[in-house]
Amino acid sequence: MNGIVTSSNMKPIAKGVLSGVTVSFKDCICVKGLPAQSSSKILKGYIPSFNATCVEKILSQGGTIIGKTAQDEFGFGSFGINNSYDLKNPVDPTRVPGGSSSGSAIAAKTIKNHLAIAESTGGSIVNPAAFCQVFGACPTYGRVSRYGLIDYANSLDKIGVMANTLELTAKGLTVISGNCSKDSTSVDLPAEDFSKFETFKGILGVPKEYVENLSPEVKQAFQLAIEKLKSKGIQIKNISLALNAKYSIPSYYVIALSETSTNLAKYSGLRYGPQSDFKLHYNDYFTKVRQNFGVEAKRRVILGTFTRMAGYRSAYYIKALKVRTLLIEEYKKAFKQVSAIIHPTMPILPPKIKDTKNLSPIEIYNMDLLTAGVNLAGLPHLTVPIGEMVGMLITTNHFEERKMFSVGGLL
Amino acid sequence: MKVGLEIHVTLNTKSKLFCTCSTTNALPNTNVCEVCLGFPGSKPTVNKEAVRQCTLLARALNFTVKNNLVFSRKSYFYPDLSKNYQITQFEEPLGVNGSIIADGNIRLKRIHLEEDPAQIIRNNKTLIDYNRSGMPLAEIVTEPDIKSAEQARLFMNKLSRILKYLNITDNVKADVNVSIKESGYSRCEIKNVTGFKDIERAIISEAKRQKKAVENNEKIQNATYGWDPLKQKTYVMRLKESEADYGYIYDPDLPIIKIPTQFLKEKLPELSDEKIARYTKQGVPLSDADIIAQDKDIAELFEQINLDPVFKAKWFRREILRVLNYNNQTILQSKFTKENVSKVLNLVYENKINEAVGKKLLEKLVVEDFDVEKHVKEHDLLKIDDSDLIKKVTAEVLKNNNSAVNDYLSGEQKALNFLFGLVMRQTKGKADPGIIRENLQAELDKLKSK
Repeated sequence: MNGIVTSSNMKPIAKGVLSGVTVSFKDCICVKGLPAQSSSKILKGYIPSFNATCVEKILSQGGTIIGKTAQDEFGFGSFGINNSYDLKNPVDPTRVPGGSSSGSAIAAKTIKNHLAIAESTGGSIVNPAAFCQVFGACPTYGRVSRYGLIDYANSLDKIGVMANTLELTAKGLTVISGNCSKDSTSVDLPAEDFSKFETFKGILGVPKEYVENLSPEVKQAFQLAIEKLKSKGIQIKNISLALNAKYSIPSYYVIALSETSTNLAKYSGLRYGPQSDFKLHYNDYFTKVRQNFGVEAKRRVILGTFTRMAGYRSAYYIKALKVRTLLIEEYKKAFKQVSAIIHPTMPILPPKIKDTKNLSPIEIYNMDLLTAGVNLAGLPHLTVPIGEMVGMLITTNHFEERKMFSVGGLL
Repeated sequence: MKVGLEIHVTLNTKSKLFCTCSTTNALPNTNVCEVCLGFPGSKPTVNKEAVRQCTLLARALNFTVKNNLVFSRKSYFYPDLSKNYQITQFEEPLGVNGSIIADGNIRLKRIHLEEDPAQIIRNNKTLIDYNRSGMPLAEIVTEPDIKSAEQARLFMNKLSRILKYLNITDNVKADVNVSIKESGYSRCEIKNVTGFKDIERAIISEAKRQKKAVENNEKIQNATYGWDPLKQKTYVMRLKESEADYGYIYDPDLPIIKIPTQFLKEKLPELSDEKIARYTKQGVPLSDADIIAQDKDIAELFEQINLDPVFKAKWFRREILRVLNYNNQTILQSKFTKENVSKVLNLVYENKINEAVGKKLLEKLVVEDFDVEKHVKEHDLLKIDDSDLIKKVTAEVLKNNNSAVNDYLSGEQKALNFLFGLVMRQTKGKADPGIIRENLQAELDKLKSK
């Protein structure tokens, strides 16, 4: 299994920096004429009539599209097990590949000279990239157009890339970046080539709360990486991200689920996806069609509907938005002290597949501890392999992708 | 009676509120794209022209316009909603605290932008036409300040004028809240009434129904009614209404942006009320000014004609509007121009043609433009102010109609009109009727005294 669930052979429309590179897209990114299901039964049969902006950009820069990759349903998952594909970690098949961009990481690891276009809401790029031991980059929110991305949580969703080399990762992110008139959240900034970075000079910060509860393998790999950086004359400084450590997960889940419960409302079997008996009253019809959601999707719709209900809305949804602002401020303050922030991408090695069956939803949500904050803040972040199935997460200030890659170049 | 209105105005834009689909009439489901169909992966982008029109409307209705444009998602499941949420404004509407003066101050709570849902068509099947999905609406919410159906009509007339002056169609739908004193103001809502006329009728019908119910000792329940435009009656949709929970969130696809300052500073056209004030200051009677200012295009033509305001106002109200109504035309559809109307009115004003000729000319000009001066010359329509000629004709008429003269002399007043008509006819209607009458009377008086 190479992570691909729908194969294609879509030739580029022009030569470019990706000539000779094969490219896959996470299932939630619309490629005209190819099924886009977000690995959900409720989107069975949906074939988009339009290309996502990033698809157009890839085709105009020489990339050949070889298919769509598996994911957790709608991006709801941290391990790649919330779908019907039976995915395995290519480094150790007894372990999960991570998620939710599971297929992207597997494809980046197993297909030669491959660029996997993935998507992150709360860590869905760097989590599987770290577990599958590839590079994974998530841009500043707004840097890459979301047009054509099937939404999970719009204020958090970002399209990014994975590849086996830092260079291809940087090139790939460069190609898909840029202002897009079809996405109102897209930012208008001059094009930058992220692969042309200078040698990093500056201070790296390590948040103490983010290195407290690490598994021994992760701790060891991270220490070795720190030594390597120090040996290159890089100054490492201990910092604190106390608010993020405490509040990023609750804030992230309240915002993400509030948004997702509205996004998933459109799946009601009227114009695409499975249908039901049209003789039914519309309420019953919708209910019947919406039984096609998986358990986790249903859980998130119910939670997200609750957090925005009259009477609870200000205590949850509005509060979470306020907390989000504080968390961003904390990162902004940190970047006054250090150029970039580093810590392990995931606190543990990918779990054994058999062990994931007994995890509660809360235990799974807590896996996002090290990635929720950067995603809430919309900061660019990059995971670089630093050991077997272990990655280091490099985060820089908004729109400093080039600096982020320059830190990656040290490892 | 207390009446509150939630009025939906369809804005006059070329494309829809959040996509580039056309807003023109078309075959069902042809003005559609991935955005207004709510296809997964599509994203909305705001139509600036809709923001401009809503901002101007807000300013014309004396709203305080907010600096930021904030969109929210209003969630409810219904087959006409392509995304099962409607993009609207909740936390921060485009404008707050507006007003319309209509026999008192009617407070307007808020105005906001939102997308129209698709249209559900029910025959033997239920069909959905997504051409309407995403059409731009401005929603205006009033306080329950309207106290009678007459005041409602006045209010809607004012609103309709403002919409027309801003080149926004007055294509409106409204939810109407009606309550009466006799029931202790227990509120009933009539949903989705189309057009200003039916809104007024619905208010009257609902108030009547409530009065009757109170007289019969029935309790007025808080309820939602529909309006049947064919039967001109309200009907019960839902009893015992609970407050719906729409689970609003900020629409994360539409970041909060500043309302462009050019929309806040753009000069508003002079509106109906201001025109009326200006006309009456010039001496035009209020009733004339009001009718002329009702239609922006008529008012503009009125202003372009350089003549005594009182005189031209009388002619606009009595003649121009009469001729337009008779021909069922608007000023723009008609062949009236600043030049041709101006010529006719000037000829009348300068006493070069008499009023009857002026009216006839207008009746012709409404359907066909022609050179007025040339026409008058060719058809020999200039007024005869040659009193000798009139005297001569009068003498002839009296001479040739002995029996009518005798009738008059023996007290038959009608005979005078007959004789008058004959003189008019002999002068082809071009002579001044006043002079004819004067002459005729003088001659007859002479005969009488003999």
